[in-house]
Amino acid sequence: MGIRSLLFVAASLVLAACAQDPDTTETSGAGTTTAPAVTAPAPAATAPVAPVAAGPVPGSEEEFLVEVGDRVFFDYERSDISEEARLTLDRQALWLNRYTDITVVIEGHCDERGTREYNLALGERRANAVRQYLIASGIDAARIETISYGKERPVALGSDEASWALNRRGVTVIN
Amino acid sequence: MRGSLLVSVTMHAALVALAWFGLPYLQPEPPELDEVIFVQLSDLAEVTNLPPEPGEAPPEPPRPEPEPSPPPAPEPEPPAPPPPAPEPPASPAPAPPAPEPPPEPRVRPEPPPAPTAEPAPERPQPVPPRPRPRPKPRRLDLESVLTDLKREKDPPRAEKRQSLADVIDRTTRLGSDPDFDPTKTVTQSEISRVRQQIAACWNIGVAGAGVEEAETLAVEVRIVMNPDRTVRDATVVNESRMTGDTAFRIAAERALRAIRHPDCRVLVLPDDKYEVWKTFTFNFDPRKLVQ
Amino acid sequence: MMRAWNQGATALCLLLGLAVTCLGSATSLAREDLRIDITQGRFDPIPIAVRPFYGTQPDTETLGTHVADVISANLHRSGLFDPIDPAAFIGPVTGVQVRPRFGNWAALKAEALVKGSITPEPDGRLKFEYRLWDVARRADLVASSFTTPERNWRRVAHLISDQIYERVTGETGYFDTRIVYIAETGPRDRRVKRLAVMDQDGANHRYLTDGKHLVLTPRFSPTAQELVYLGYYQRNRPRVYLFNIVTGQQAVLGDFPGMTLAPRFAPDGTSVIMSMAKDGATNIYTLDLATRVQRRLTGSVSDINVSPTYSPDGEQVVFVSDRTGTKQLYVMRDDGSNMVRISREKGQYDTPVWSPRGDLIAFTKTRPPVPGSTDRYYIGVMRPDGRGERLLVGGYLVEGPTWSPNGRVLLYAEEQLERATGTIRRVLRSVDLTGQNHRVVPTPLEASDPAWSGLLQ
Repeated sequence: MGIRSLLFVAASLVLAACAQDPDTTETSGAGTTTAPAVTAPAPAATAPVAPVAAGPVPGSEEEFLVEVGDRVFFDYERSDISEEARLTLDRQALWLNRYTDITVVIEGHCDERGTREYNLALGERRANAVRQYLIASGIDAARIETISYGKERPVALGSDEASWALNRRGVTVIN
Repeated sequence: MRGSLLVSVTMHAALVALAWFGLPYLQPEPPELDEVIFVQLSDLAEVTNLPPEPGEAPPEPPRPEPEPSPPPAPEPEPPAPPPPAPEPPASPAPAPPAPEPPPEPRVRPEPPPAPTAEPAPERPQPVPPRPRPRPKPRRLDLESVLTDLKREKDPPRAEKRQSLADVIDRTTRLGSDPDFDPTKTVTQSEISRVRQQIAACWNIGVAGAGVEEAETLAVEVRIVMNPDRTVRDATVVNESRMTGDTAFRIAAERALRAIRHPDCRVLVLPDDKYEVWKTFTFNFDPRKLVQ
Repeated sequence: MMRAWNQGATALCLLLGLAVTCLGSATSLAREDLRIDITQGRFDPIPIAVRPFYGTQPDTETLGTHVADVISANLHRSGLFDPIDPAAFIGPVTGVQVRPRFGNWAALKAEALVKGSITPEPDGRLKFEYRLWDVARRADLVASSFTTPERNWRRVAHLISDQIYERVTGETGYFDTRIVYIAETGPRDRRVKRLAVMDQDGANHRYLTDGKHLVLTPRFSPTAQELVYLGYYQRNRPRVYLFNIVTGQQAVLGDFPGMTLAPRFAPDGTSVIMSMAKDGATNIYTLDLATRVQRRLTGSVSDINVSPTYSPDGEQVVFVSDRTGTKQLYVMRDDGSNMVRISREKGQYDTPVWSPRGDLIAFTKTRPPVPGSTDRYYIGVMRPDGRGERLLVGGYLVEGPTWSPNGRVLLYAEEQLERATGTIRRVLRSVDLTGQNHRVVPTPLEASDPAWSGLLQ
C-alpha cells in the first residue's frame, strides 16, 4: 500500500511537470527536433536486456551499468521523466531494492546551451526528478543523494542535436 | 537750448533711420529658414557650386527697398559666385569667374575644412600668428583655468561698449558714415558656409559616450572676431555653469574646442562684412543630432 | 557684466538724451545679435597624443614609455579616444613642467595631449606627474602626481587613464579595476577550471586555485578584496564559498541543506544574495555576512529562481525565473515583495545584471536564429521597467554579462563554434553600450564566467 501511494505521488509529480507548458516556439521547436535523438542514444546505455550468461558479478557496479542502465535522458530544458526513462528507472528501482546496502548519487546534467547558472539549477531539478521516481518506487530516500553539474560535464563532445541529447541526462552513480 | 533741440531732432532722425535699417533685417532670419537651407547645402560641393545668393535674395526683399543706394547692394552679392570658379570639376565655364579675379585669391572660395587643414600641418611652427593678446603664462590647475576664463569675460564687454560708442558716433554723423551699410547682412548661404565649417570642427565625441546630458545641452558662445576672420575671443554664455555642472562643462568645452580647432582658425565669413560679424553668437545645439 | 553695460549706457543717456540713446543702444544690440546655430557635428573618438613620460635616468625613461603605452592602450580600448601613433610625435620628450608647442600637436590633429614626468625621490620611490592639455584651447585640463614604489607603475598608469577619461568625457573611468574569471584547459568532458584574476587590461594575471576542483561563477565584493564563487570541494556538496584574495582564506557561505549557487554581493558588501537548489526547486536567499542570518526571498516549490542581482541602491533585486514555463526576468523588493515581470519581448531571458548606474539591466537572451544568422544568444540591455530593450551583440553562445563600474562597458563569455571542425573556443569579450566597440579580452588560456570589480580603493 505504501508503494502504491508513492507511485501515485510519483505519477502526479510527473504529470505536474508535464503540465508546465512551454510557451515559446523555441522550446517546442527544440523539443520536436531532439525527439528522435533522445530515442537513439538510449540503447547505447541500456543495451543488453538479454543478459550474457557469464555476465558481471551480481550486485556490482558493472552489472548495474551493463544490465540495468545508469542513465536517463531529458528533452531540452525539461526535467520530466519520459516513457523511455521510466523503463530504465524501473529496472534501477528493482536492482536497488535487491541490494539494499548500496547508496547512490544522481547526477543531473544539461547540454551546453543556456547559461551556466540556470543549467546548474536545471541539473538539480533533473536529478531530483530521478530521485523522486526512485523514492516512489520504494527506495529509501536516505539512500539517494543528488548533485548537479549543469553543463560542466558533457559526455558527447559535439555541438549538435545528437550530442546535446546525450548530454541532457540523469546518471545514477553507485557509491 | 536751441542747439540741444537740434541735437535731439537729429538724434531722433538717426534713431528712426537706425530702427528702419537696422532692426528689420534681423527679423527675417527665422531659424526654420536656416534649417531648410542647411540641409540643402550639407554637401560641400553643393555649397560651392550653388549660386546661393540669388536663392537668398527673396527672403530679404525689404532690404533693397529702404536702401537709397541700390548699387552697393549688388556689390556684396557678386563675391558669392566666385565659389564656382575654384571648382573646375563643376561645369560652369570659366567665363563668369573671369570678371571676378580679385575675389578668388581670398580665402573665402576655399571650401571650409580641407584647405585650412592642409596648410596647418605644413607649418607647425608658424602657429604663433595668433593675434590674441592673452597668451598669459597661466594655468596650473583647474582652478586657475576657471579664474582665467572669468577674466576673459572682460574683453567682450569692452567690445560691446566700444560698439555702442561706435553707434553713438555713427548716429551723430548720420548718413555720412560709409562704414555703416545696413545692406551688408550676412546671407543665409554665407551663414551656411560657416556652419558647415564649424560642424566639421565640432567633435561631440562617440555617441552615447560620456555624460548623456552633455549631448542634449545647447551651448551658446559669444564670439568676437578680428578683421582677418580669426576669432579674437570666445566666451561661453552662462559660463558660470561650467563650474558646478559637469555635463554643461563637457558640452561647453566641446564647443570651445570646435572654435579653436585648427580647421576653424579662419572662419569663412565674407570679409567685406566685418561690421556685421564682428561679434555674434554660435549656438551649439546637439539636440537634433542625438538620437 | 550687465551692470557695467548698464552704467555705460546710463552715462551716455545723460550725455545725449534719454530716448535717443537708449533706443540707439537697442539698435546696436539688435545689430550684434547675429546668431548662428550649429546643429551638425562629428561623433569621433577624441584624437589624443600620449607622450612618453619624461625620465632623467635611462630606466625611468624606459618606464616613461611603458606608462604612456598603458595609458594609450586603455584609452584606445574604451573606444572614446583615438591615440595618435607615437612615431608621429615631433621633438624631444620634455618634462611635465614644459609647456607644449601646441602647434606641433595641432598639426597631428591631436585634440588632447598628455605629458608626464617620472622623478626618483630620495627615499627610492618614484614620483609620477602628468598634465592633460586641451590642444585647441591651449589650456590644461587636469594634472596630478603620484609618489609610489616603482612596482606600482601600472596602477599609476590606470589611475591617470581614469582621470583623463573622466576629465574629457565627464564619466568616471574604469581602468583601475580587475577582472576575475574562470581559466579553462583540457577536453570538454574533463575540463580543468581555475579561478584567475587579472588587471582590467590583462596584466598581473594569476591563478587562485589549482584546478583540482571544479570552480564556477566568481564575483567580486565591492572592495574587490573578496570573492564569492561556486566550488565543488566537498563530495557531492557544491557550495558557495567566500574567498579572501588578500589572505587566501576561504569558507563555505552559510549552512544550506542543498546546493547553493549564483552568488552576488549586496552593493554595501554586508550580505550575499544567492540561490539554493533543493528538491527540484531553486529559490533565492540572502545571507548576512556579520550575523549569518539566512533569509528566503522566493518560495517556489518546483520553479527555478536564480541569478539574483541587487540594484545599486540595494532596494531591489532582479532575477530569472521559469515560473511561466520560460525563462523571464523579474524584479522584486529586497524583502521578496512586489514581484513584477519585466522582460516582455519574444524569447527567453537569463543572467540579469543591474548597471552600477542603475539605469539599465543587462541580460543574456535566447531566441531562435533569425534567417541568415546562426546567432542564438544575445547580450542586451533594458531599462529596469523592461522598456527600451536593445540587443548589443549576438553569437553562437554568449552569456553572463558583467558591468564596468561606470556602467558603460559589458564583459561577457563567448563560446565560439568553429563549424568546420566542430571545436569550441571560450573567450572573454567586451562590448560597450553603443554595440560598436566590440573586443576580445586576451587571456592566457580559454576563459569563461568573467566578473568585473569596482574601482579599486
